[in-house]
Amino acid sequence: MQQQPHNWTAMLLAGLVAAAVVAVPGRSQDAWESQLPRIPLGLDLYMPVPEDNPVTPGKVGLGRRLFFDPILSRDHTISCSSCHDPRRAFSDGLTVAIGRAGRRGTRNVPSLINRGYGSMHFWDGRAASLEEQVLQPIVTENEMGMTLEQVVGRLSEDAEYAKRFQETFAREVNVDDVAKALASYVRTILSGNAPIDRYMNGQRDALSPEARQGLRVFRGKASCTACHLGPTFTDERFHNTGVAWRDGQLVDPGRFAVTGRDDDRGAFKTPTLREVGRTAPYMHNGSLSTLEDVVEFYNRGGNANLHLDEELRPLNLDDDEKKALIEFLRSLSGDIQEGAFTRN
Amino acid sequence: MQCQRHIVISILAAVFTTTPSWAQSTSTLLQKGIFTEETVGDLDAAIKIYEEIVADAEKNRAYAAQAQYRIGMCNLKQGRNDRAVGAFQKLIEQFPKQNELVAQANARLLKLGYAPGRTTPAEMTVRRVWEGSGVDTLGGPSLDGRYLSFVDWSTGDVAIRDLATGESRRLTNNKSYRGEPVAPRFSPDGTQVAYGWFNYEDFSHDLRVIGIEDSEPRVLYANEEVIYIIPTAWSPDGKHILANFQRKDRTAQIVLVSIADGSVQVLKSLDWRYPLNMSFSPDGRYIVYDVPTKEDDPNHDIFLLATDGSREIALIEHSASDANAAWAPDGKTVVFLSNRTGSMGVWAIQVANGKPVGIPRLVKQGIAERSKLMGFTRDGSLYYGHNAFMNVGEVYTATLDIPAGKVVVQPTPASDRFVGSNTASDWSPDGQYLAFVSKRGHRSKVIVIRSVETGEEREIPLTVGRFVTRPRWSPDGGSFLVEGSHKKDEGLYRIDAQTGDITRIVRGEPGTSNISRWAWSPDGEAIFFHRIDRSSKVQTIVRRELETGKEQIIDSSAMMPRIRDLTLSPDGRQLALIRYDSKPGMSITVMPARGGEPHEILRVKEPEFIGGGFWREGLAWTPDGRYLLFGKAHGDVKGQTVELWRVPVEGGEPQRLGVAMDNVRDVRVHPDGRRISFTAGKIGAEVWKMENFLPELSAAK
Repeated sequence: MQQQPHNWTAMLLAGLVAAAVVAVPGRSQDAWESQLPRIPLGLDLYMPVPEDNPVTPGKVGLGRRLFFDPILSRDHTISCSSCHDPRRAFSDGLTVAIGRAGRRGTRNVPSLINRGYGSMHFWDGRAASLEEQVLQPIVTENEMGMTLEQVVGRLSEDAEYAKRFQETFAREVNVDDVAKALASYVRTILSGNAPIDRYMNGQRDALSPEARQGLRVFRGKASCTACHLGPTFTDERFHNTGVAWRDGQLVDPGRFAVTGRDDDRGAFKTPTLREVGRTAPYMHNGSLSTLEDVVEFYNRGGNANLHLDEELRPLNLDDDEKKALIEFLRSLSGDIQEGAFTRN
Repeated sequence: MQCQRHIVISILAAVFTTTPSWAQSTSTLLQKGIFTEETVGDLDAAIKIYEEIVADAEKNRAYAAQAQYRIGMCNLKQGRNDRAVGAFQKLIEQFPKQNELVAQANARLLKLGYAPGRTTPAEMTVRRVWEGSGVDTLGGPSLDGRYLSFVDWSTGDVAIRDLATGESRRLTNNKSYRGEPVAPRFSPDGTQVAYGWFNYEDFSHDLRVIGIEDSEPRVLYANEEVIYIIPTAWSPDGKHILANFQRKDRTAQIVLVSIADGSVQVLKSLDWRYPLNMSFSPDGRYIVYDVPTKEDDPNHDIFLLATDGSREIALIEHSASDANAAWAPDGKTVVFLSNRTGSMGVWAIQVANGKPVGIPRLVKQGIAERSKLMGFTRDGSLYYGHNAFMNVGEVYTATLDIPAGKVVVQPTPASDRFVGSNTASDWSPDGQYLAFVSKRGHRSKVIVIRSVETGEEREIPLTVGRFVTRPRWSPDGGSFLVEGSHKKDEGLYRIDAQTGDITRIVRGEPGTSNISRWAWSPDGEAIFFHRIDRSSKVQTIVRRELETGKEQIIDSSAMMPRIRDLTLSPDGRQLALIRYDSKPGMSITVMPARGGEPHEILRVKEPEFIGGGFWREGLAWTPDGRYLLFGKAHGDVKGQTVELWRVPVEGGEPQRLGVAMDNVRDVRVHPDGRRISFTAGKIGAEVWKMENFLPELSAAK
């Protein structure tokens, strides 16, 4: 795996901010309990959260510490943030994920921004909740390579963690609470207040003329809104665009591996387009390096195959339209926040 | 022995099935029902017989009560528990003196998990408070119960009606009918009304507020990214308006708009599904709203969402359609409309701390299918409206001598099935079939294809969603062209007349262009349609080649004139249009189908109108291309009686054809040039008031 040499700085910063979030003087834990994550412009006030895991600053602080701590990897070399780097909109800039000891994964690391609004997780949607999702990389051999027993053992032996779990959940370290803390933190990783949000909110000069033309192409001729819609610019559904089609066969079954349905062969979850300018390379296998490549791919109608989504067709965009579309896509980058609450 | 039994059954069956029902006594009918239920085992047929007895309950209430109980039992045997519950509750409500049957019904309800006993308080009253000309149901009552807000469609103004005196007055002054209001809603203190505004000039929408005393409207929110705004409620503190936004990507949003500065907080984004109604809890902490549970599923469920965004729960989840939720002023009760018993009813569920308590109870069964809840007053009175403007009426056929202007065979309903649910007909090119749209239950539709010769009918289920209108048979008879929406798209679709398979032909760009009024070219290789482009504020008439998708603009103009109908001559050379333009009145205009100068052949001025129904449509060529048939009404915008006329295309005086019915529209001429089909039927609205059904508030009164 490729080392992330700057992660310690990130961890230090994160630790300091986490401490600031959790240990504000004069506020009791009860007072925090009534708080909600701060929602930036462009996102919904309502975020679906399981009834048994309301987001609290205590859980977010603990989850954040876990997120940046290599204690969750077998050889103590990588943390969640190694692949989900805050400086890269919580992705990693690599073609496919690199796990512990340089082990190479098969799919591109998806950004974690706004995943609190998601309904299914991973490129193939195999996790139905963030609580379920956050544990899988920890126990995947090619990623962090731990067992859940090892996770509980390590954290229990760490006096600081044992104390924090006790304070947060009023019980000893256990797998469910690790998942709840990590999921709570991920729910606070949000991106909004982008030029597109200000434009949608009525600030007409928030988008350049070229980006405005790109928006028209996005919604009109290119029909990107067929899948990239709503505040997170994703329908949270699965589509076969032909990216997995190589040499006359689908080299990755995609959603089919989860459902066994023929229609799902080679289908992958629509990724968010927020922060897309910061999350190259693209597609589930990281096979397209730039936004220009992505626009060209869709302009030719994806890769034809038996299960190609019916929305895919040649777009016949001219050069100006392609440039405008890319300019618009860049306007989807805004302010990334994590760990922020309404009363901060 | 077995043989003898068969003989007895056969004789009884013969007796029961050969005696006309009108001649049968209630007791005979009941025996027939029991025989059909228990011996024949045809439970649906038995239910129909029992329903006949109940419908005529005054003849013999004891028998009617028995029949009602058996309706419940038949449904129970078929596993239709909700319908059974409805039947037992109806028995308890309508036949309270039939003690033994009421006790049995109560026992059944208890077993089914429903509270036994009368669900409707004895003192509950339901009465119609507004009917006749000018009724509108888009608004709601003021909290003090003094006024009802509504849209005055004669002028396109926001208006209020004094519920005590019946006097109405307009709050706005919509000069020259340049737009129309949407969903006017009273502020909690009753001094202001919020409403959406649809501007005809540029097809924009905004949100406005106006005081009820000599006030000018204030635009609270306008954003060209929001293409449709429906205000549904004020927050109890009067500081926000709860509204439904539709954005250019066709997604819907539940939003709060600040009264102070027009800023918007998006509570929740939905996809292309949208709520029918939303309502605040009296403490302002929650809203309830309904939304379809799945794509292309007409059934809604009801959700409860915290206004601080902290949580959401499904309040009502049921396979039936549950919609139109409204929070009662007692803070404990959410009422909603549901068709779970097979017919539309008002239901209520108790809510505490943002969660349901217990199970829904039926408040009132058997209200009109197209009802909507308009809101509560402070004393717990619930207003609801019944609205029948679109997709109502019946398809009729008649035979005319068009050149002579005479009726040969008077109009009769085209079908004897689902009478009152059939609209929008078209003859097949060979004249052997009549197709029409037929409503089936709550919000689902089929295309019926009826043989002209035998009367045999077959149905094509429609999976294209909302707004399925005006099926037009392709020249080869193999498919229909319809306007509709499918998932997130809307536009023109081809529906295979054999398989029902759907193909999108023209896509309306979300939020940008609307497509309406279309016609086939005689060779079936092209279609003509009318497109309104919101962004460029231009309307065009387009000819599109189906194979290549190549489009030719036949005519292009600013938003005026507004085109109400478009039809192509049988030889494909001329287009005829019904238009509103800058001159007074409406016109019928003919223009070359390949483009060129339009030629007005008829103009009528107010108080006369061309066309019938809500959209003022209905223009048809005769097969020889000599005449255009059209409807003409005299009266206000929603005028009822429409007379059928013909006008020579080459010039000459129009002439009556001798057919005059309510809202004649969608006129189609058979290839023989004599038979016609059309839709006709009353359109209109009523407002009802339900009182004294919330126990605590009733006691307080």
